[in-house]
Amino acid sequence: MEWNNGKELCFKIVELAKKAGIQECDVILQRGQSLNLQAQKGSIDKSKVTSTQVVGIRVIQDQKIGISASESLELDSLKMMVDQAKATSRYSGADPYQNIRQKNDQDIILIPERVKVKEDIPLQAKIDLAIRLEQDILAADKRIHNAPYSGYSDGEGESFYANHLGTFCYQKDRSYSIYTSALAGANEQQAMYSSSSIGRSFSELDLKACVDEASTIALRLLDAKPIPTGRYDVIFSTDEWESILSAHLGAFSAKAAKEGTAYYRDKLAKSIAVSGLTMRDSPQYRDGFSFSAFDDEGMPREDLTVINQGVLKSFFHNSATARFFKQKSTAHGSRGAKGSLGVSPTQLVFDTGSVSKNDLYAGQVLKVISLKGLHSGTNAVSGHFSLAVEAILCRDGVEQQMVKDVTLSANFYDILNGIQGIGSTLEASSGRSFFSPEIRFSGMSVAGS
Amino acid sequence: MLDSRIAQDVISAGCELGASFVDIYVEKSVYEAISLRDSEIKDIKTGTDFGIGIRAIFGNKSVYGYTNIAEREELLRILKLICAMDKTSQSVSPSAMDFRKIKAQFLVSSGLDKPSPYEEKIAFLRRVDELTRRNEKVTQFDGLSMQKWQSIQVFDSEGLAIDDERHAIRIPMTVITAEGSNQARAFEGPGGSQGWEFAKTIDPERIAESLVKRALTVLRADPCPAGKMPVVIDNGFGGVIFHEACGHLLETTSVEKKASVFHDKMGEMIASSVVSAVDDGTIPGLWGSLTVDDEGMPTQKTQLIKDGRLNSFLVDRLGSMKTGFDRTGSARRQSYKYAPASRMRNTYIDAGHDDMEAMIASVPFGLYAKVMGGGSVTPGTGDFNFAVEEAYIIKDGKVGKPVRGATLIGSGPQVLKSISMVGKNLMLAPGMCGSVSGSINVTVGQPSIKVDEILVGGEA
Repeated sequence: MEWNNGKELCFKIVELAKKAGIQECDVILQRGQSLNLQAQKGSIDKSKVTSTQVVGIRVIQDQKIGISASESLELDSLKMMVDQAKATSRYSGADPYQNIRQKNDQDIILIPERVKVKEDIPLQAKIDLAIRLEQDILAADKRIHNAPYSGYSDGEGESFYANHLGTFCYQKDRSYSIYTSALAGANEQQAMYSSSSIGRSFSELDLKACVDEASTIALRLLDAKPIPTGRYDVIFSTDEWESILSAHLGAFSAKAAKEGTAYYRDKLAKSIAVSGLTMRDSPQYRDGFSFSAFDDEGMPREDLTVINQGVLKSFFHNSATARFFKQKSTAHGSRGAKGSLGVSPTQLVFDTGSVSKNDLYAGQVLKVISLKGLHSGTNAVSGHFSLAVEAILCRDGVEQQMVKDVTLSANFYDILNGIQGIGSTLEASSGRSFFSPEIRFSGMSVAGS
Repeated sequence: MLDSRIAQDVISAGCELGASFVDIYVEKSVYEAISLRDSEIKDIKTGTDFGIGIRAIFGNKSVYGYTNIAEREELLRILKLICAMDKTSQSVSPSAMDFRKIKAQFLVSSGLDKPSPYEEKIAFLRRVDELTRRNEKVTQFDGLSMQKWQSIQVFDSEGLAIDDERHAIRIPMTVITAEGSNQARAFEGPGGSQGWEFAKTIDPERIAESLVKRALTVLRADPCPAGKMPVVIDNGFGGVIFHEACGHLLETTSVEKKASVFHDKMGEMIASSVVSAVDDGTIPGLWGSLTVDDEGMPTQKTQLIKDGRLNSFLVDRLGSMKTGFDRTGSARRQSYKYAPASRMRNTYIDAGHDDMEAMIASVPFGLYAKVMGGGSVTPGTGDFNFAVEEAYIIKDGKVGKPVRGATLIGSGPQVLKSISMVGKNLMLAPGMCGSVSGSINVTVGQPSIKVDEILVGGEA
């Protein structure tokens, strides 16, 4: 079994820690390989091959935490890593809630069948795909004068977890993706739009859809102009809905609630959204690309309902926040080899509603297809956001005009109570780790002409 | 680090495969991050990053690979993989290596190459925490002491064999204030290419006072009105707009692809005649300064724009090959995991001749963006979106009430032409820049400037 050497390494580090007198420890090892090809002017302009490994240890001594990591797996480096973690733990503040106690009955090993089979795709097929992306974009319309970011990538990643109690977990996965962008120009107007496709196998990659989306929208954006300042009902594309929700996920974090910064810290079991809204985290939803068998504390994953019919049912917990709130961990412990313990969701899924597409788009609706400046234009603490957007203004489902040079402003937490309708078809984001029907939000503020 | 004989063998193998140029970048980085939150040291992270990047150039095409394993067989395996699609029978002979050790540009007395004074660092963070919390509206203080000691080697087929050491320190600090259900934050993150001695230049009382004052101002601010209006952007971090919306368009990384609106504008007026801009990697101890770039070339001061006219791009080796412009010592990368690309160092709009008071007095109704937040830009078009952390309405030529939630939206090339006044008060500020070769340390800067019209997004 190819993962056995990784398991041996993890437990070798655990043994080094025990010999150093460390009371509790866990080890995360991450390994990966990837290939990336970028096309430009009809040939591969840049290619990148990677092979990486990083191991990290978290130690707890008398309730104090030390964290250290190394990208060198030489024995001297590993010993230094353990010593540094032990030494720095002396200076940390005591955390009575964080400990390492996860003990599973058996190892958790997840290697999907499709990963066990080595896909033998010739390099030339990958090169051809990357070049075709660029060529097809440029061939789509003479107004498209460049496809500056077109390429192919694939990669395999392995995650190992081990702790001093003998718990061991391992997961391996593989993915393929293509991406492209169309830069169009006409009458001194410039517009660019990007698109991507991701797959579990090479054959799943959808070149045509990727090219069609990037070229069509870039061309339509050439005619985009501002709309009058006012209030508009808004439907976000699935990617943009994922983006804006992600910027506010701290509101559902038990860690942020413990620290007093989560907006919903006092809202458990209370209504926070319209009664039709249900949001779950589904780590075992196998169609998703963030499928996960265990969290970064070695705890088996389970599905979690976060919002049920508009009522906040749970925060995302790791073992430390669970202990603080006297609850059971929801197995959302999150930690990279170099990082400290946090929480994070895996695959968010919104339940579908019953509103038809026609009803969802009745009257005037602004369909937002691009949000800009998300990390600067949002205040996750207060929920206020003000973002430049590109959008399609629709009336009764028919496009009226493409929109740019406008800002969309609202409070994220308020708009959840202003939902007018939830669509009946589940859609996946381009990264396929977020799933939601279209949702119509009422009366958001737009500053335009 | 890497044995030079192994480096020579790998470079020779790359040349035998037909590469016209091969270089190897070896990096070992020791890092430390001490974080304080809730008045407690939350954690101390330490570690060592190590890896080797190999680049081969065939004609104008670059291939790149990296690994953590410094063994001849592994490096040759990576090399053969990246050269697989381009290898030819036309081999070239690499030059013999000329070993050079770079003289440090700036002496560092308390870097991570020496034992870390943990107690001193923790005491500093605790002091700022204590000072900020004297105000009852302060609900949280986050402080972080981050340090890095990076050792690099660059070997190439033109005979370059160079060692360099770099030190970096940054101390990001955030204050959150609350009143009722309103919350506001203020951020400062001083940093430099120095060791812990840099912290001795920071006055805890001044920085605490500045953070609290700004977080309280924002807390009590009214929503910002939206619409097109003149904007006065203050000095220092205000330069982030030039960096994002114009600086990136001057990197050959985008120029070589003709993805920049400036790609064919060399020598032409691209900005108002009051604008001159510089990218300077040589300023001792500054956050974006380097002795040599990540291709081993000494850095330099590059005049990007002179009196509104485009004077130079930022050029790395590949950019030079593709555009014909001379290299400017601007090849940079986050780590061995990235191939080098042309990037900014310390970039700023140079001082002008106007007084701040005159700028404000010239605006009947507009926005005074005192402290800028972060932002983003669309590559190619230069369209940008930036948050303003601290802003005030200007009414009848006077600075009025504070406003919150302001964002500035526009096009970098258009804004360059709309700058009508440039102040004398040039100031620089550190920041992080993310782009094709990862996240790197950069300095942004400018004096106060007046832009005649920008679309302001707001909550009102």
